[in-house]
Amino acid sequence: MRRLSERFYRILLLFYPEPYRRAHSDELIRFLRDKVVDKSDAPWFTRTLMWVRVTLDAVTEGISERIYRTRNRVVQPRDRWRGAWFFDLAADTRYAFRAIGRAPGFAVAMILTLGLGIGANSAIFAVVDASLLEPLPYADPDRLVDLNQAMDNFAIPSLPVADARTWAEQDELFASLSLHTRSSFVRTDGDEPVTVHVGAVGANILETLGQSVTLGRGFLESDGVPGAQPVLILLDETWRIRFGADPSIVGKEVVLDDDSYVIVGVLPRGVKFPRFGKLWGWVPLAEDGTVAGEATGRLSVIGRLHDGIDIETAQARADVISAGLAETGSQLKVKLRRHSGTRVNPDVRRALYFLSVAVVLLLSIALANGISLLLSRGVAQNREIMVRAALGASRGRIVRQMLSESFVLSVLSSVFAVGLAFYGLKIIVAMLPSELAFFSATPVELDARVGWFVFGLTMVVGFGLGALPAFSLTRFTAKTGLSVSRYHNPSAGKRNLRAALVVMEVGTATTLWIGCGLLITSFAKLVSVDPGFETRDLTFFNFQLSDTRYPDSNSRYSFMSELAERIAAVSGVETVAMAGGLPPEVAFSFNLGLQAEGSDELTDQPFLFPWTLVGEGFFETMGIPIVRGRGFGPADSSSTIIDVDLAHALWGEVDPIGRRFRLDEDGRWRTVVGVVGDVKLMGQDDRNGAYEMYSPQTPASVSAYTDLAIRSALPFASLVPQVKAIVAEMDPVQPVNRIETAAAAMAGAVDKPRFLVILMTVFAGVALALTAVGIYGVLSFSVSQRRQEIGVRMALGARAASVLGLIVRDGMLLTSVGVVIGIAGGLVGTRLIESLLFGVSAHDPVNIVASALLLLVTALAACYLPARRAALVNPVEVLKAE
Amino acid sequence: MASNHNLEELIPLKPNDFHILLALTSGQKHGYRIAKEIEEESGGRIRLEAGNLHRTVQKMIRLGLVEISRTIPKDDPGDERRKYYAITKLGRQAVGADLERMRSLIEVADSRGMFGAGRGGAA
Repeated sequence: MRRLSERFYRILLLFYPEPYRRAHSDELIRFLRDKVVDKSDAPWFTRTLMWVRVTLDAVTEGISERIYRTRNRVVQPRDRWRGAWFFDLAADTRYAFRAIGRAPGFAVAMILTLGLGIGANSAIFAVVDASLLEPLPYADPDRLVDLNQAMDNFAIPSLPVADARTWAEQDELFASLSLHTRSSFVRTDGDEPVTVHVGAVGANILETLGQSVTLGRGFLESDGVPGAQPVLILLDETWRIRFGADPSIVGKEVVLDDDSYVIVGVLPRGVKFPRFGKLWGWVPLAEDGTVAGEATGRLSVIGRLHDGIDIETAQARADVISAGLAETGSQLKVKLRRHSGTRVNPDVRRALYFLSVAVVLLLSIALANGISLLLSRGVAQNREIMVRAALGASRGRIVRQMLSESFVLSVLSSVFAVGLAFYGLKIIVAMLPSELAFFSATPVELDARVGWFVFGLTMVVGFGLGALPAFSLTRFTAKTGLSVSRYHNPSAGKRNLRAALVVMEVGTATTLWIGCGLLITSFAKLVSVDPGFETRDLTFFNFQLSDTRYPDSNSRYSFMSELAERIAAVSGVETVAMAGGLPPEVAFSFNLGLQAEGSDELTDQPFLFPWTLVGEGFFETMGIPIVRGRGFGPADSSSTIIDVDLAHALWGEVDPIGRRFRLDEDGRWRTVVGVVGDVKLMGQDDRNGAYEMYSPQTPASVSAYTDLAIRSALPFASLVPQVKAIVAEMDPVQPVNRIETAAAAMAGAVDKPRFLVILMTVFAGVALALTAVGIYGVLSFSVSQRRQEIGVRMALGARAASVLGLIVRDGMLLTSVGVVIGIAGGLVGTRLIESLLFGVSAHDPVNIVASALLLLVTALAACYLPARRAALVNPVEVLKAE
Repeated sequence: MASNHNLEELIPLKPNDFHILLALTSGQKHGYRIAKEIEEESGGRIRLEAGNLHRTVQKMIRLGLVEISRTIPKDDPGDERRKYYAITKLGRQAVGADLERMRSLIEVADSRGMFGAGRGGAA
């Protein structure tokens, strides 16, 4: 941070004239350093204010020193730093401000246009940076690897306990290795019992991660051993939100699963390890792999590679170690994966990249508009420029002056953009898909990195905006300059440039709309998918039963069935059913080949099928139609119910009732007793699992995670407290994990596409508006330049309608060229989102035609006003003026 | 170029100049210390930023009011590459002359009963 602030300040110092800077910059930097150290404990707004003051100070003093030197003829040595002209804005800044002051409307249009572009980029960068770019908050995060168990064609991100413990001793490859797993407890010392998810971590985890606690201490070897005082480390977020950032938290106690845990430490902000859902804190993992005395089946292993070992070398050596261990009877193969490589799933990453491309395109449209505006204003200034040139200003001098104006505009736009991004981000964060909210390395906010991004972007925009007009408008000689007449039309070159800008804008907007249209179509199809069950009056409750109080399936079964019975007795509740997983995300989904009895072979294709355990009355409660056969009865244990699609895939048109099939070649045979309608158990997108399979929930099959589906006409707000009261009556320390209406649950499954489609529509909408403004601007300008020509045409007998047509034709010609280019861009660009689309092809012709039409109609509207103005030209007045 | 300036020309001192000189009367200091002391003495109302302070000090060096110190104060275990500024004889005279000017102003104001006015006329 300190280095960063110094670098920033060094750039600011460029406002000073070079000799002054050379003599005094060390002193100035020392002053700043003292100040930064002094204010390091101040609240953030004080520090922000300080930086604003420091910046203003450098700018005003730098400029004043320059003015002082010019007035007093302090000799400026000519040995200027090579790139100095780029930053040497200060001398021209005053001029730029004056120019802006002369045309405030122009400046406002420019700031709005560029601000939208820069703001959209800043907001999306904040999201992308937090979730993809910013390194995890560990020392050398690239050296952290996860040990996976390699299977034939996939890898499991954990190892069996015995192997994990063997591997934890491999210090040849790793500087430090830590075992970890997840666990959850019920916290009972609050208002109502809540489930908390914790990471169970080895004592050396902080060493492996290269992190330390902000309060208290880390775990010790002695913490996890049986009989030791149970201890707990809190996540920073938990500490802040649940414990009000209590500075004396260390030593306080929390009751988890009836045991009293002493809080020994608090983790730094941003440390969320292991990476999963809503993590609450850490408990120690004993050396033998037990958590709070309970054995775990598998453990995850994270290792810090020794310095200088890259992951390929490490993998090769790990293979050797695996081979060595094979002699001792272990069959395990270990696959190393970079820990930071598994942050967000590829689809989300793709969506973020797509949004990044979209905002860059948006910025390019904004920039084209800005350039176009500068060009049209520049033409008006042409004579001033030429006079200056004639009086001896060098081309470089004039270019610099024009560039400084564009830099000032760019800086002002960025100020507006940051405000825009600040509020935009609030909205974006509120609708951020849970995956991004959980897995981003740091909170999504306008932090220092975003600040640098905006700074860089401001520089790029400032240069990109000014360079083209500056060089194009100064391509003249003094001689030709002064001899042009008042009626001088912009040269063909300049008009072509503006036409090219319009074509580019239309093309870009078309491409954006093709992408946006696909996302909208896809989203509309996704939300209109019939979930296969009746979502009205249906509410889902999820319970996580404690291992200590409900140690076996039988006890869980009796608790859940009694609960279901009692709830069913509440007046207004129609039916209640137990399930081991509900849509839109059941617990299990398999990708296996299936074999129908009588057929010798497995199906050609493996089936991705969700599988859930359901209690009696499940299909009735959910409103899932039973197409053939029956639902589960009380005595069912080996029977299976499948959906129509799976029945068709296995047996075609033959009646499947009573037939048997099995999973893989060695599964046991399952008898089909019923066929039910297709249900979107894994969410609306069928590609996540189209073939459903149901087994009966029996006293022997109830897992700790169990759901209840409740069909009731009671309003949600009155049903929930009644259910909670019954749970509390049966077991006062049993939390209710998740309560959601079925409709909300299904809507939650499309939060990622919704996020993408909303942002994309906003961006594409802004792009369309900017493009319309661009077309309007160019045509208006062209009409005002061609007044004389139009007047002559009308004097010679041209009718208003034909003049109107002339201008509209001009505009539509440019638009058509742009649309064609945009379609080509769209055909290529939409490949990026192909995998995100549902029910629509990336090359959907309807979408392409619709996008093209949208642009054409918008362009037509934008052409109309200038064309009408042309048609209303009074030839007598124009010719009189001549 | 030092001290060929007439004291008359220097008075009245600009507020920032005055504060800087006043801060230096208690011993030589480096830039940030000067700014910090001024901020404290003025109750936070006068805040000098690096560039402003520096240019003012440069100007006062040119005027001969301030000089760059050759020695490092013992009580400041700072960085020895820092520049420490000290008040010159002319600087002290200027502060004194300006204070004298203020005193006469205060006397005039007092004789006209101005001092009660600000507090609501309790005199």
